Amino acid sequence: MSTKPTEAMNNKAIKYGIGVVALALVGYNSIYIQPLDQKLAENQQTVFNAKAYVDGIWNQDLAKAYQDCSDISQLIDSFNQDVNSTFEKNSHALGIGNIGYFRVKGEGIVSAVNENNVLLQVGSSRIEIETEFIFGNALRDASGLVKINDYEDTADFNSISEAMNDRIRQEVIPSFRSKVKEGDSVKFEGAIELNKVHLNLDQLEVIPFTLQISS
Amino acid sequence: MISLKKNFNIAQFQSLIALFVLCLALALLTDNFMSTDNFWNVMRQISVNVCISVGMTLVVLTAGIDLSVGSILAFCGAVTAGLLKNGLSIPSLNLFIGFTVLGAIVAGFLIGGGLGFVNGYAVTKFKVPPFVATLAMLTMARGFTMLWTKGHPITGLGGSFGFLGTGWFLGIPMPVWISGLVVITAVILTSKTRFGRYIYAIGGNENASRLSGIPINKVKIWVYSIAGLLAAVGGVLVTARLDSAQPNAGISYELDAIAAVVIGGTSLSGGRGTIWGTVLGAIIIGVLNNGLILMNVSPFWQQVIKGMVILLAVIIDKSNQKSE
Repeated sequence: MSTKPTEAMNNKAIKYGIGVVALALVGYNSIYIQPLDQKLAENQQTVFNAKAYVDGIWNQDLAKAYQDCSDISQLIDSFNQDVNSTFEKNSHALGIGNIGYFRVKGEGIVSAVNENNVLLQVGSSRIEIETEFIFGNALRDASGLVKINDYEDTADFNSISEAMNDRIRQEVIPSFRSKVKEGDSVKFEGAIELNKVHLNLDQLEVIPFTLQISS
Repeated sequence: MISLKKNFNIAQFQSLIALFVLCLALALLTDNFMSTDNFWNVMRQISVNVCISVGMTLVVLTAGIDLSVGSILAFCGAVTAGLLKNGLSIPSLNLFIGFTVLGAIVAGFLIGGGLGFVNGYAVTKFKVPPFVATLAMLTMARGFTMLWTKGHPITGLGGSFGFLGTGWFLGIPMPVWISGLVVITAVILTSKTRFGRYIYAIGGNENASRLSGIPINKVKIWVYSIAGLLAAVGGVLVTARLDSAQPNAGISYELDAIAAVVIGGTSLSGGRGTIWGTVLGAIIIGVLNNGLILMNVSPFWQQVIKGMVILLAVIIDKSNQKSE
């Protein structure tokens, strides 16, 4: 008679004991503690620096990639003949889908200098050089140099586009905008984004990589 | 003949028959529906809904409802992602608390269970109708999510965490393993334990249950806590699958969960229904979504069709109750 309550108490003690050990194990494997200043110093060393990365490839790999690109008039002719094969041969893309990015170059006469862009007449085609809204991933993805799988953090991958666009905004656009006028001849290298299914070749929009005025 | 009629009640198999007919129709109408890839794709997609629907089933069995599961899912996913990525900094103590994958997940689960507990407490202690209490939690948890994430996604959570959402184990996707574990645990809980019998009893007749000595408030608080915990499981799965916690994740997930519960034959007035029925309901919704996409049906029409299926399920359920 007297052993039953003792047994029950023992069982309870064993249950609680197992529970506490399990909790302690989970807790021990759940968190780690370190001084905040030490952590911040570590972060500074490990955080991906997109600007430094872009600076590193700008004059070598990226410049080389953009020198080796399609003439925009030839590209348009190629689209008019066979859209699919032109996409296959010339475009870069992150994955499956209808969007493709192309590196292009060309030379044309400035037909209008607008607030947000400069219009060029290149042969029979009208091209829009973006000078205000330098956004998106066209420069990065058209280059074909940066692969998403190389980056564990997609935010790092996206920051490369931001750094490239920043550099264009700061180094390429201001000097071009201050000098360009109607009638100038302009050489350009840059990137365009096209949708295979909704292909629109009227006034292609180029995100510039280099711009050169030869009056 | 009488005993055959007694033993074979077609109403018990309605969901299964509906699923079979749906699969047959989609196999005939589309090219890719019966492929292995598509099968696992559907299973992965429904895993999250299965988790939150199981929690919803427990709540509905007690004649309640939980509208907050979508927002709790988003908040717990965001908390898990935030702790894993950034840890907790306490500048005044010069202290940094880092979280391992296990730690971040446990924290997310605790938050989910905690918010569910608040729902249960409001429903039982303050007698707030479940619809109102969980509606309030829906907006609060969404607000907490926005505050925690500052409106931006939290990305880059690492491969070992992502494995939970995108990995495979023994040829089966991890989300399917996890949702399977949730289902089996819930089936045992509802059919083999005293707690499960209490849930059915409370939903069947709350007054009679009270008079029988069932601790109604305690059971209900547990039920809402479990629903919150399972919403957190869903949040971890969504976040791991996307490698990102989105502030607007889980919007209207509660409706899909309620739909799965209703299609699965659980009575909204409580006391009647099964976890397996809910799983079938979730599969029907997942297959329906998948089939409509494969058939290139406009997303606007998809909403209409889903609504009609839910309405039809409730009408059939009501007519079954009458005939019983």
